[in-house]
Amino acid sequence: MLVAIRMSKQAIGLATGIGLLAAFAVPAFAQSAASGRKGKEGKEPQPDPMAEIEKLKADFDQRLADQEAASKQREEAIRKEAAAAVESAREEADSRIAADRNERQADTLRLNKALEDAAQREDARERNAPPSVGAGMPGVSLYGYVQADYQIRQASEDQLDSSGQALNQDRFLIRRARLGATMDRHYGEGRIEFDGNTVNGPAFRLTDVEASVKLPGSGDNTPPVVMGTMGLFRIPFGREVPQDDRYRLFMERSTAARALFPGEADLGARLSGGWHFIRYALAVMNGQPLGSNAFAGLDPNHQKDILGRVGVEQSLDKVDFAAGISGLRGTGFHAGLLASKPTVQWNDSNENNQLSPDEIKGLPGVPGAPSTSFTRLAFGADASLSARFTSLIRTTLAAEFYLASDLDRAVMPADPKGIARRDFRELGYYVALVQEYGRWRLGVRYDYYNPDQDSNKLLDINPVLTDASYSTLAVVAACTAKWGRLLVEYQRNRNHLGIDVKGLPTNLDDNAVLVRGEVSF
Amino acid sequence: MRTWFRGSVVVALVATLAPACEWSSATSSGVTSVIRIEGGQAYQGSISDPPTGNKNAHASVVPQNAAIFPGSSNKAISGVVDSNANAVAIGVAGDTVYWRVPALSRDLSGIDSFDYTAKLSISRDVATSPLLQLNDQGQWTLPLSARAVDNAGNFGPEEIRPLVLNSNATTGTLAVSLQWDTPTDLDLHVLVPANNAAGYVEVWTKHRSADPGNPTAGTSPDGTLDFDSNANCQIDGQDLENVIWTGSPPVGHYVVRVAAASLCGLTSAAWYAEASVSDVSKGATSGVFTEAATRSSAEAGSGITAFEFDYP
Repeated sequence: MLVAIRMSKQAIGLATGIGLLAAFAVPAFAQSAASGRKGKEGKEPQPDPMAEIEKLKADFDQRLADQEAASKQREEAIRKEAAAAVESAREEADSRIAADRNERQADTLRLNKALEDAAQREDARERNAPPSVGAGMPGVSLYGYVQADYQIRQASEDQLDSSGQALNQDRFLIRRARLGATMDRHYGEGRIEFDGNTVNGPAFRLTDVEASVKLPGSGDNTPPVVMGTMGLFRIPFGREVPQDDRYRLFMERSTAARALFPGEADLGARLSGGWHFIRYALAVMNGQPLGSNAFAGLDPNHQKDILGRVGVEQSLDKVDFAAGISGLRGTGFHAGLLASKPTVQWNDSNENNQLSPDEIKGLPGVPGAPSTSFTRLAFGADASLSARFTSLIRTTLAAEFYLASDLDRAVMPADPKGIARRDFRELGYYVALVQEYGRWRLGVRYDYYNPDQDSNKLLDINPVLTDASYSTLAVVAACTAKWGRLLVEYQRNRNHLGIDVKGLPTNLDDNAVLVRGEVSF
Repeated sequence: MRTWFRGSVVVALVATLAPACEWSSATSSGVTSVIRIEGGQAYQGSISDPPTGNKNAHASVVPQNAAIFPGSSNKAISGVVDSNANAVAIGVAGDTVYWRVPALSRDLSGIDSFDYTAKLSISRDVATSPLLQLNDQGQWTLPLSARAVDNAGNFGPEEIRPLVLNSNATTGTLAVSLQWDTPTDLDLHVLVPANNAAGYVEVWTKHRSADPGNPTAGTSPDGTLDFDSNANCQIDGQDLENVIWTGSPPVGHYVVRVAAASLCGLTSAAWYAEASVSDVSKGATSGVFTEAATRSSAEAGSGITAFEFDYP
């Protein structure tokens, strides 16, 4: 900058000199010319022009020197002024740095003090804390999840039914709160899982307890070649019954699954495994699943149910495929009746609050009736196809089919030894489509269940078939994360639980909206 | 590790095969027998199976009334065993069990004889039992056998006392019945044609008579609900309600309804309703009530329509 200023000043001085030269030289030359003309006219002595020029040049040089000296003085003044400013800034910066250093030192001291305090508190907490959770051996892990629901059902009423049960089902509930632990060693596996819920009031129960010995597969993600299990486990029939509740998009299993295998789990022994793409499971079980209407978790007869599934499972580049067939042969139980004692019944038929002889009826005691057993059968087929179009988009299509005889244990319990004195043939199926887009899920499922395909009435000796079927169209949307899900489901339910004006069975309006928050670890 | 694995497999096999081995006790609950005897112990096998080891041991069985009906209960029986025995075995030839009753009271009418008393009940399913025999009068009888048992467990010869089966079937000119299979409170409603404003009378628990002006049974049992079984869940074990006409039922259109007043804490009740005219079915249907069926109140007009028919 100084060089530029200096050069510009020299240029200004030079220009000024040339200007002055022109200013003085031209009038002088003109005056000389005029004098010459006068001399020639008046014959006066003429000054020497060259001397004049020299004089002017000397003046010009003197002025130029003066200007240069002045410029140098100004430059020196500017330099001193800049040096002073720099020095001032340096001093100011030094002062500020020193202040910052002092502040940081103070902060460091404060943080050190806080850290020491925290360490002391932590030491004290550890000294006073209860023992921490630890595993007795490697391969043990904990898991759990909570499904908290809010449901709105169309059939809800702020009343009680004639048995004293609340008809309102618009409520918050804990559908599942599961806590489990697994142990996985080379030749052995174990699992224990507890469930708490408020479906029928607060309840806490065992849902999965398994002790297994196995011959492991060749890879990390391959199933064991053969694994023997005893305990309480999900019934190995079909696709959705053994499925973990955390991985099913729809809120509940299909009506057929809930009718035929209520509670999904039963006690027994199982032989399962896989080889390449083949999967198999064969089980001997009590035949009274946890959700049975009677004798849940018990076994009223000594015969055991034999059931199992054989299937294939294959994962290709962008396509996953699974299919299988299932079968069951079991023994149901027709409970006998207890003996009764003779009683006397008074019915105030005329409602006059007076005892009349014709209002008294003696009822003889009756002996009990023996319990009997009956055979029940089931066949199932299932298939699912899942295609990944991109890393975000995945589509899954699944279907399952049930055909059973005298197996319903929840929706309309089948008892061929009961008053109907005939077999109950059950039929059920569902078709589901699930679309995934990143963390979003959208699913549609239609399921159908008929607990009694032969339901009929006899009119003038002519049997007339009646319909006892249930069907549900469910639409569910979900937002998922690694640690949980938020689901909203709408159910369009059809049944024959209502009564029309003629007293005939008709649909009981029971559509539902369910919201579920789920957190898992 | 391999040894441990093989050991586990052996244990699993043993545990699996062990239940296949059968073992049983000589005694029984007797629940499958066609008869039950209060005061006796049931034993496996037919009364005719044990060989006669003591021909001198005799026993008698004397029912208070030789007529029985399906489900009859606590029928008094008694008898005497002679001095060679101290118990009596009672049963029906071919039945799954027989019953032993101790005879400990000295008989005052005979020297060295002992009395016994017991209560006899007949199975509800006796009418379909293959143990029934047809007598000369064309009546179905249940051959009740008694055999004395001595101290050594030897059986004496059989003494047979046939019990005549009287059917308590709901028959009549017109009979409408409802029966069910669990101790629950179900109700039969029959809409009987009548010459009143409504055109019918609903016969049910609170209006037991088909007479529009008489809600009670009155003097005539025709068209009357026989009783309200398991009313208010006070279990009586009948699980059966009938409306029966022995005379001339009203001519017209009948509607049979079935209502679940209460499932009494149970989860379901299977029922069967039937109407018969002179033992010929006029209409019938069956169903299963679950909790949803208890939504309606136990009032007139409640329940579902089981079927309808016209009489005659």
